[in-house]
Amino acid sequence: MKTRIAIIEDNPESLELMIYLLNFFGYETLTAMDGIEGLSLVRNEKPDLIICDIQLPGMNGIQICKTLKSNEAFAQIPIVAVTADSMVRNKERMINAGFNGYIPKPIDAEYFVQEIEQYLIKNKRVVTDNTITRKDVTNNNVENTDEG
Amino acid sequence: MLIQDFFLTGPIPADAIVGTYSPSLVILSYLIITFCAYVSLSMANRLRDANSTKLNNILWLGASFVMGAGIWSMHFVGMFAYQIPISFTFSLPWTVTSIIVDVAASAFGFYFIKTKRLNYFNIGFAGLLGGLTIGSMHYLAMEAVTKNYIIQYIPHYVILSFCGAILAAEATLWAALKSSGTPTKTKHLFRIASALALGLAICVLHYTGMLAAVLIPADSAVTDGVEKWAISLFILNILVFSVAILSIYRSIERAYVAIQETFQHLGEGIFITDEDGKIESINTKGMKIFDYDMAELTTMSLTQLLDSKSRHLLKKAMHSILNQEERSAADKEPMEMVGVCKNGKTFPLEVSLSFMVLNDNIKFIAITRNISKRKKIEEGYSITSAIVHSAEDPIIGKDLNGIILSWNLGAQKLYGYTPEEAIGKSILMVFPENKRHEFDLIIQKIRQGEGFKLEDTIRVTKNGRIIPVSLTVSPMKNAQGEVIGAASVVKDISHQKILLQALSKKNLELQTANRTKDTFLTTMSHELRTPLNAILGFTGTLLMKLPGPLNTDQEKQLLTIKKSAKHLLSLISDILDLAKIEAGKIDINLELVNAEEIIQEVANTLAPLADSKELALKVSIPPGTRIMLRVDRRALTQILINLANNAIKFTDKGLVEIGLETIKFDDKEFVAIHVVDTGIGIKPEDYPKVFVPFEQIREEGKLAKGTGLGLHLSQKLAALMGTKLQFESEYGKGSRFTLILPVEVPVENEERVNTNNENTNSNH
Repeated sequence: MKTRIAIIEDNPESLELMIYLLNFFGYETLTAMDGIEGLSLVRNEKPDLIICDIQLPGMNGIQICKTLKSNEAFAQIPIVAVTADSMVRNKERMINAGFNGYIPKPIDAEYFVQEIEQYLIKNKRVVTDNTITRKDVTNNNVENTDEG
Repeated sequence: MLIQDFFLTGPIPADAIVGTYSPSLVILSYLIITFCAYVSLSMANRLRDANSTKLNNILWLGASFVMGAGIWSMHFVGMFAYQIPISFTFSLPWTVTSIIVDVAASAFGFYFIKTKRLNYFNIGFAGLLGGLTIGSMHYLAMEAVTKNYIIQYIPHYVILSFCGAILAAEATLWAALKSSGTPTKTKHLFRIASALALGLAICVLHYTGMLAAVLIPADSAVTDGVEKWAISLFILNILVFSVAILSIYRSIERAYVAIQETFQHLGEGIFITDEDGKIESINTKGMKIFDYDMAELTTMSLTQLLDSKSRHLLKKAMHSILNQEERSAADKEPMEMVGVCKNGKTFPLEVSLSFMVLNDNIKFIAITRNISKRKKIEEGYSITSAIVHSAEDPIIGKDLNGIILSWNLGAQKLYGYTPEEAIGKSILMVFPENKRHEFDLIIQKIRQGEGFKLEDTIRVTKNGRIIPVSLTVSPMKNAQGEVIGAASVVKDISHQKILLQALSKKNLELQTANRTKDTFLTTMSHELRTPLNAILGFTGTLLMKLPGPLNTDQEKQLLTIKKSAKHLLSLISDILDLAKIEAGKIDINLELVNAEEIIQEVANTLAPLADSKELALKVSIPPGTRIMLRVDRRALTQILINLANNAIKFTDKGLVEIGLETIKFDDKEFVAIHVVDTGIGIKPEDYPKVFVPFEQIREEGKLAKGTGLGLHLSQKLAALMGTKLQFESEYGKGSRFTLILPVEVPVENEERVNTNNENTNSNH
């Protein structure tokens, strides 16, 4: 099964670009063009990663991220902010809201997928580690990895 | 009696009786007359300044009686002292007549003093007459001796005795006059001396008179006269009576002195005048006020001490008293007049006129007071009140119940009420219904003697307009320091209010504008970048040849698109940064930053760019230093990136160096961070343009290498951190940009120690 990435983005051109790049490198994309739509998309589809714009109609990226991170069922899904917002203050707000990563717009086509994959790999590694520790059965390790 | 019988014309007959004198009785006679003279003088010298007629009469009669009786007593004691072989008695009628004449003569003399008609002529005349009378009395009394013999007198001795009598009388009057007034010790001694002298003079008269007498035995013998013992008893009575009079007189005098002292030392000038205003007596203060002496004043009229207008006023007041119009109102209101001093100077004078009735004669009592000082204070008050009255700001006086006492022009202007309408009304009339509570608050404060301020309240005018005012209320105190009311200064603050409203509106507008600007900047940033995302993104996918292969031209053109889009992106970033600085939207967060770390970071970021131009990018930091700066990390990083970026852009060969060195200046440590290149440098004529936006140095035919905003932006950021970018350059050889920042000394020292330790460790 292909890795599924949800993209919540209201600008059609940016959306088209990201879909093109991700599809080209073999990922399945799910898209939503406003916050509320995006949230229900994630709830219904449980994607492997979420790419989220910050300025969105309906519900902004920060709110989406906070909602998802406060729900155990979705808290594990990595969320990467892709935004044209350059304000320093907002960057802090993004990190505080629980985003796993931040990629500023305009994106660099050459490195974009590579960067996204970092968060996927991290996530996968965690999953792999978990499976290993489960096999070895040491409670300490389980706690440590949870903290990590 | 015929003259030839009286005078002895021939020689002294052989059978003339020759008597001797008993020395003790002679001395007694002298003592008696001296004592009587003293008592009499004591009383007589009061005659002059006694103002009550009754007292005057008593004094006069007393003095006259004591003097007259004294002379008479002396005479008879003198007669007793005369010892002759024949016994004799005194005839009663002559004896009585002689004492009456004596007393009358004294009364006549003292009358002149009593009536105060004192001049040399009068005194001289009175003395002469008194002396003659007393002298005559002596010879009358001699007649009282029962005629067992004939008495004839040697003329020149008689003249001599009269001279003595006149001398005695003159001396008495003179002494009575001179020792008058308030008794002092000197006056007292003078009085005693006068009495002694006077006694002597009368003794001289008597014994000279006796010398003049030649007693010739006669045939007839009369024996039924008054016996010596009866006369002696009478004399004793006279003496007792004199002592009694003296003691009564003494107590009267004491009381009189007390009154006199009070009179003299009263703070007001007191004038007692007769009906016509002629001055009869004055106290010391009265003399002082007008600068005249007693003698001058007693010849003047009270009206002479006033100016013409006051004179008229005084005459009118006297007239109304005389006409019984205002006799009941003895305490008339004091009148304000103008007094005239001896030197002609005028001054404000207060005169209270009253009167007393002495023996059906009206005497005026004028109590005068120099009120220059009071006038001056009053004038001061009236100036103050004039200032208050005409003040532009409303000033209102009210009592503790809020009843308006004063209301100036300012108050009238503000509230619309005239003083006539406002005074006497309650101040509450200018309080709107919902501000009445302020009144209680104000009065409470005022009662405690405290002032009160209301910066912003409202009052209502006569026509119901509400006006914003500020108030300053202060307690008004009387001379005793008691709070009797409040004075409030009101300020119409309508104008201020309007200004304030306008200001706050403007402020709100500015805030909104600022917010709008903020939102605008954020939106701009977002909206400009968003299309660039697609442009750069798809240019990227094309150049990555994801959709398919490209020919050379396509690739070259796509690269141009990419380059231009990137340039546009940096322009947008720089312009937005600049806009943020201008709008004050850049937050400078000063934090402790390791200088070396920042430099390394910048070098790392720009290493690929330098590599692409095959330039050496060198970091130069003195070994063993770890310099901590208090700066905004982002701003410093951005400045250094801009500088290094420029250096790489404008250098084709050689190297670019980022480094630092420490400088000591005034005991303070600074760090100079520099970015040096071996590039094209800057022409001296271009120096002023270095930090000017869009004034980048272009080489002919070549595309601009930057946005033209980098140095401008860097300089602005440096300024935000309180420092300044400096540069040196040599055209064709390279440039050096320097940023000087203060070092956080304590941290640096600590760090240095640590670094040293590390170094030592690594050496081992």
